[in-house]
Amino acid sequence: MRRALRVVGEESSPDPTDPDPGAVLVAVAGGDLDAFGRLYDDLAPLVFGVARRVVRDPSRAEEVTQEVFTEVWRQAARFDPARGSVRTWVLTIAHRRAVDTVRSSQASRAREEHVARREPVSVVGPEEAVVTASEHEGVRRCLDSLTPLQSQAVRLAYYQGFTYPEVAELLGRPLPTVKTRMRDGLIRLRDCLEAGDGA
Amino acid sequence: MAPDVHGLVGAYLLDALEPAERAEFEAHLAVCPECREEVDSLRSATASLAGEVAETPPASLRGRVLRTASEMPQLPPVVAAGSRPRRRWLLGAIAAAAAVIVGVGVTVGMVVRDDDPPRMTAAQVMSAPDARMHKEKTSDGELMVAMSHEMHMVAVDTAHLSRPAGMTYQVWWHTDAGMESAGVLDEEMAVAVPVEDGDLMVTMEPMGGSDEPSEKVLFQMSAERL
Repeated sequence: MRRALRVVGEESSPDPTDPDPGAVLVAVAGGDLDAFGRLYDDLAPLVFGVARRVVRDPSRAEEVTQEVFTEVWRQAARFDPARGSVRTWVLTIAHRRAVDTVRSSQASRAREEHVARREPVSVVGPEEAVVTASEHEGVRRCLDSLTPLQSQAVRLAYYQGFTYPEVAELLGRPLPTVKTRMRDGLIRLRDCLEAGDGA
Repeated sequence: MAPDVHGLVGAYLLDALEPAERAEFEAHLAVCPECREEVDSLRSATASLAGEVAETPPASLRGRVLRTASEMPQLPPVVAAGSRPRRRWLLGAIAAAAAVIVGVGVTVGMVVRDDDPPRMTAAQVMSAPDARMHKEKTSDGELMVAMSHEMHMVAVDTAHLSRPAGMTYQVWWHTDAGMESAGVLDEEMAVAVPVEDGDLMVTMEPMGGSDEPSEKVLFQMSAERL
């Protein structure tokens, strides 16, 4: 699980023995399946976690995870490091794919949830629990620094996959307010994470 | 820069735009360097939200992913004269996420104001990172129940139920100690209640609530299965 540890600390704790994740992606872009496997090991818990959270049904979440990594494989040569880290790129693809999946299958969603709730709550493996603990706390602490409305708007959209008009209805607030809170919330989250307040 | 469109940066990053608006925003991004800069500067923070929900996928998935990749041709890099290099990343993300999208309406009547006292609201419980949402189809519509083990709270939302005149909904915990009312939804559509060790029940009752649940049980599930 060293690998997962390494990537989670990717942006904050450089380790000279760690390969540059950008370099891993260059290898992936060159058709290196071993490098792709390493990338999978590093990021699959995050991608699957997002998919599981948004689409809920475990087998659908697996499908989404597979689709995301397939796209990462196909698009690897088009990744632009100037726009952000590999991890951010992959998670951007993952969240959107998860949200689009759930919105394209709203009709079957209730049925899926019906099924999902009869299954045991999936447990985060001990390795991942350790691996993500420090980051998890950082994100959590920074989320807690948001105003309640900012935090709720961000969480309902990201974790539940609601659109902002849905979030507005859910919170009983006007659309412009919700739009603004989402943006302000992310700005505050970024500033907090960059200041290392969450570390 | 169109201020209206620019205001959508947060909703865009959270994938909270309807399809038409998303397309409009992305068209705007192509011509608005400041917007792209802001979007880029917030991507990493947005993606960090995933850290809260990391979960180990089944071991069998790894083999399937690698096998699929081994059979899948890769796309060449985008390097055309006159192309906008800074858009590559975005285009990749958009192309990668392409999917059929159908808008969806969700209506939940609930008021949470910034100046509300700091009590736990149903929205807070529903937006908890670990919240599990259950939707129960009943003859009166759909009942939403969300459980957050971390907060030790359950949210019950009746906004989608067609409430007959003179009737209300009541939330109960059925524990070893007996049947206990956890809340009557006379004025509110949704309520958050602390978790007890027993069965959560939602029933329909006459306005004002009852001392004991009637026969009209809309939902029943033990706390550990919620």
